[in-house]
Amino acid sequence: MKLILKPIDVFLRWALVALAVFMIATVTWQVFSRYALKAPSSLTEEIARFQLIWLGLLGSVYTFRNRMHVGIDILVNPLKGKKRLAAEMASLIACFVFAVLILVYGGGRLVALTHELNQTSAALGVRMSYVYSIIPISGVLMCLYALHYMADVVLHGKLHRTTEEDPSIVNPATTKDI
Amino acid sequence: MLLTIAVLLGIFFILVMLGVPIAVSIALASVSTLMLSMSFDPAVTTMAQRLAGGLDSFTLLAIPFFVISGYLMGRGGIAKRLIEAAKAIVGTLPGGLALVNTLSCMLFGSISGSAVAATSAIGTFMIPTMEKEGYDKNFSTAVTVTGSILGLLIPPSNVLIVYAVAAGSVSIAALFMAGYLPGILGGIALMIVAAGYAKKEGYPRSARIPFRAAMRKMAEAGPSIAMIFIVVGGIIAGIFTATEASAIAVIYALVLSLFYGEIKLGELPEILLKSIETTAMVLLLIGVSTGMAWLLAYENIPQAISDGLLTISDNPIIILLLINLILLVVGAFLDITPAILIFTPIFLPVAMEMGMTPLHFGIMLVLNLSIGLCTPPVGSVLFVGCAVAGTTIQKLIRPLLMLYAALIVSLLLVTFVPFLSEGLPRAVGLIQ
Repeated sequence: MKLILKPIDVFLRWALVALAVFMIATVTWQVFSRYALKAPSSLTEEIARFQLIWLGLLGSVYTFRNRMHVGIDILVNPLKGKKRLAAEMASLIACFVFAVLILVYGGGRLVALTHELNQTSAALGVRMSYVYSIIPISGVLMCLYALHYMADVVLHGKLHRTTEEDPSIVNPATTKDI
Repeated sequence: MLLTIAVLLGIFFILVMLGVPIAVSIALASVSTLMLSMSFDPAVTTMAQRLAGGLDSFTLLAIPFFVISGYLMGRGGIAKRLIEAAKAIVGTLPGGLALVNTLSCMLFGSISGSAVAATSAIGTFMIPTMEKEGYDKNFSTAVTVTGSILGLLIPPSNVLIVYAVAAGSVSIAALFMAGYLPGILGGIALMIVAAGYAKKEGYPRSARIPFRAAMRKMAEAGPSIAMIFIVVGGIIAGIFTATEASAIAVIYALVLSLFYGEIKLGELPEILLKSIETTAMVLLLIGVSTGMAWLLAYENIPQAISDGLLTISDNPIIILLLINLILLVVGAFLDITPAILIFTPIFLPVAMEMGMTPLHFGIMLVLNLSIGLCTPPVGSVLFVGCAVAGTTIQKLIRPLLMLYAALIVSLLLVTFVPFLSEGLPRAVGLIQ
């Protein structure tokens, strides 16, 4: 499992950093082309929008990997031993079901449907099925991480908590309120 | 109809209580409910489509960018510089440090766009400082958490952008302008209460700062505060859209922090990843909440709720009080982003029927729901505040109660005095 997840970790990090840099460049270019070149680009808006879909979904996998998705754990945290592990397992199963049903299956069907209908985007003319393909891809990655965490619970009785438990570090990454 | 709502809420609450991430709970509850009225395949496909469709928005792009720029600005010395500037402005009034705390939290919350970040950045420094000067730790913490949430109303503000997307027809420029007066009003209300309490307890005033030193301190915070002017000014002057402004903010924050030597280029990937983590959390919530909002519309639930509300009364004052009451309860349990996306389509039509503009309603909604961020049982800002100060929610309740009162009074004023929300946007010609 570790052997599969390690390269995925590296891939995810670099893909996300590249996406973010590309996104900033796209929108900055949009402002620049309008004011400096007086020739507003007609494509940047659509490119940026599709990048956001990709960032949202791939980013969600990364966030799930770090166990940073907002949840309410005041009820399960006081539990001890087996009960705590059972609650953890239930939560992981829910995430797994979400990834399989909605992202992999629902997303996969969406990709197949838009591909069949040959739906293309307005400005770029890309097939929407390519844009949507990130949904099942993210779903598969999320499943892998969910399975990894479940295995840890079952085999080692180990809980993965968020990577950051110390809120005194100034870090908006622990924010849930925006 | 009742069955639909019962299934939706039932599944949602069970999952949330098991500690399942909120976004996943929303998605699973929505899909299961959808399966009451359609078969499996279209239900999951629709959900996947709504999830992606919810993110397919140029406006929402501003969110990752403001998070990145906030993170860049939030590193290093900005918190200290803001505190020094705040000291120069309000430090010598009664309860000086408490007021400094509130003002710093508002400024930091506005620049970073995150109330949690404001609480941890300012609280880490201010709560021990206040304790040293004899302030009660729980009082200081209460001041920090309540001050921090006001940063959400003061632009640039990601939650206002989320509202603009949910409401559909409100300009972000107008919303940004509209946030100022209510945000400042809330701040003043909090400061009055804090100063009164400090006077009663006999907390010390800070030493007077010479005028020139005060000016210098404000000038030092200048470049950080200038970001607000560039972003908000640029949007209002129509030079760029909110999304473009947010990208400019990233570039500005990057240049500034590289210039100050607070960030090395090699740290950038890590900073981007941290920002993406925060962003993705919000984006997934936005995606699934869009799905849930679609489900509610499909089942005609917003219509039913507004009809129900209107049968109770047709008096605008009672209806608006009722909406506020429901939203306060919602905010105590649900995070602000999904709450905005789910409840805007439900309550906005009713509010409009009561003569409220979408702009005015948005400001009321955001102020109301942000109060929920510092109320138990589920209040992210409250939790972080307690953790930073090393105290418990139980001990915070007493000092919090009087600060809540200040916030509720502000909320009532914002609800019933349209000028507070509409005056500024009208003065600069953004609305008629």
